[in-house]
Amino acid sequence: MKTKSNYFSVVLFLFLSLPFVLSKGQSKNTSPLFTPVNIKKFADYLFAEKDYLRAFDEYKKYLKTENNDTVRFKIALGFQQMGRYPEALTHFKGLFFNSDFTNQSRNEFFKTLFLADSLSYLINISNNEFFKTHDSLHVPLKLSFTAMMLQKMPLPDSVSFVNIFNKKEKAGMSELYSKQRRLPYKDPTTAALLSTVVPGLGKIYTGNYGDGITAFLFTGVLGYIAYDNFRANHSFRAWLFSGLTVLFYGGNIYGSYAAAQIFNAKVNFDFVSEVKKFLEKENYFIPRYNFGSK
Amino acid sequence: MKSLALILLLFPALILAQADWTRWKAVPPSYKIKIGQNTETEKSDGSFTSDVLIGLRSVYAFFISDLDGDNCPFYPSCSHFFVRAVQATNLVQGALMFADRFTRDTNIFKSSTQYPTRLHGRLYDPVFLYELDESKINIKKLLNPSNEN
Repeated sequence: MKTKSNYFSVVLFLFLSLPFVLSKGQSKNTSPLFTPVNIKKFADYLFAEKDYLRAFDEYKKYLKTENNDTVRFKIALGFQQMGRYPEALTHFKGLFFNSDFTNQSRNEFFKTLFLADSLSYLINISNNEFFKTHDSLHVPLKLSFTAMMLQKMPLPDSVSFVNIFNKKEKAGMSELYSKQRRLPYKDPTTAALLSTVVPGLGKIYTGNYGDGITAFLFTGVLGYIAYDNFRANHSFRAWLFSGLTVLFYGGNIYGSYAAAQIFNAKVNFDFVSEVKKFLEKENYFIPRYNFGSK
Repeated sequence: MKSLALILLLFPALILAQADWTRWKAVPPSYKIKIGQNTETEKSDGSFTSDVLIGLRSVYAFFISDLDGDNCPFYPSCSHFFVRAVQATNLVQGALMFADRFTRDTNIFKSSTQYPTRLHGRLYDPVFLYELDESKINIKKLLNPSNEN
């Protein structure tokens, strides 16, 4: 009986010590799976799958033992893809000098600024020596011109503007350039003046036909009720409806001005979306990367 | 010894066991609108005009609007729009904004190009579009009103 109990104790001891034995075995980390080459391979796979945060962890492990600018560049690209622009900018800046990616990181730096909507800053630094690229792509200048177009800043004439772009980009940029010159804005003051002359006309001018007709009928009916009550010597009702007429007449003039502003904001938004779509298609004038096994 | 081993084995099983079955029970669906759901509320900005308007709006809601039903096609509704417009600007400008909104409300043909977004099942028509401040007209926010209550 006692032997049986001892045997059971041994089994129980072995069972309970199993986790310690296993964890000790793992901590040795002798598996060939965890060599720097394999860590990078796994990280590259995660990067390709757009699992950036996990890829960063693996890349950081890799960078502890190896020095590789491609990996650092990929980390910066990952941050850019995730929309974490401040971190992407810092990482790209780290590759500006003494790196295999001097020009690429500067190009991507400008792309990131564009994505982050820091257009004024982008325009300001595009001619700065610190940020200048030394390749034939002229990405900072191209993006700076595009940003100036979106910011409605004075642009060079169409020939000088289009000349910096390559053959493939020229057609699209030329079209956007001429489109920007004739965006169909509506003048808010004209809209307000039109509504002052005829209630609702300003709304029709801004393309809101239903609102214009409604405003005309609304103000007209209220005005007629006020006039009719004055004629019938119903003083209180007459003044009440006069007040309402003035309120809705004024409201319509105000609304026409606002409608023109909203119309213009929508025109701007559509144009910006179109430009961004074009830039996405052209990958912000940056050639696609093929990292291979680097 | 055996009982000790049994306790060691059973203890984690007892701790990790699923006991809360009520959570997984089938619940019949309810289509009632919960109180407090999708309610539009304005916080007082501390001004006298704002306090008076919020009070008057509550009286209007209690005696007229709540009884009449949830009819305004816009979000925020016209009465809320008035309060918010006055809070964002001043009484005169707010009144003009309200007059314009009310006229647009009476237009029975409301196009989706004019009101591209729906919020809480209604046409989203926020105050910031009508403040006559171009820097505040944010079309991106109009199309994705994620932070609007």
